[in-house]
Amino acid sequence: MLTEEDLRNKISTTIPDIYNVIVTDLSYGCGQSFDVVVVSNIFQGKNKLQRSRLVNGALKEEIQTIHAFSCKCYTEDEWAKIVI
Amino acid sequence: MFRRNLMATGRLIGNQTLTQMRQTIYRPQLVAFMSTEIRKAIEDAVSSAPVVLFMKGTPEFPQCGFSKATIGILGQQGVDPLKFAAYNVLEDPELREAIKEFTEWPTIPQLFVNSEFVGGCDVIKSMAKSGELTELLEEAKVLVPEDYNSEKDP
Repeated sequence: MLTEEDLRNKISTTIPDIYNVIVTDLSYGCGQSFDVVVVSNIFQGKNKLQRSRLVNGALKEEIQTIHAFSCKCYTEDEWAKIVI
Repeated sequence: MFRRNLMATGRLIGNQTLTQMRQTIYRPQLVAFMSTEIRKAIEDAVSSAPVVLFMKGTPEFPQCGFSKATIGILGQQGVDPLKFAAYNVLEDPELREAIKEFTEWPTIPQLFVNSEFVGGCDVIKSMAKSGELTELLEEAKVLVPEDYNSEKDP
């Protein structure tokens, strides 16, 4: 079964220039539903589809085994505007 | 009014499974050709309407929160029901796997506009929020014309 930690580690080691990764298990314990936020300047100049493709690529095997997966990708500047 | 139209159109086209589509288009072929055949069937499905959504369930009964949210957004944006088709991947396991392979995108729903893959639920949500989606749909000329209601109900 996948945990928040597994996904966080995989993203942090696969995607360069990571500023922040937030993984939330929304499954109430079965590990089948995750919400992910990734902040990295690697997303600079990339549209939303390209950004998601980067994360989908990093979690290729994991996503295949779970039921629900949601992902938001931000650059550091965009993230700064959201958290303030 | 618009909502009902969107649903009716979705049901009409959405209930046709990929297998049924193939049967209407192709004669049975050897197993070795299956993969090309499926690819062609998907390409046909993708171009069967200007706006095509591969989803779980139907527009009136979405069977997944992400599909439901996406249908809701398309309705809010004012996508013309006459230019919209939905395919229910739960009715067709072959389609469910093939569409993921086709777009190299691991999740359902998947939205296409003018045969171009736009994205899944998160991408569409965030494009709707930023206004990019409206821009894209306007440019693709798939929204209900603004004088639609006055034409219908003078």
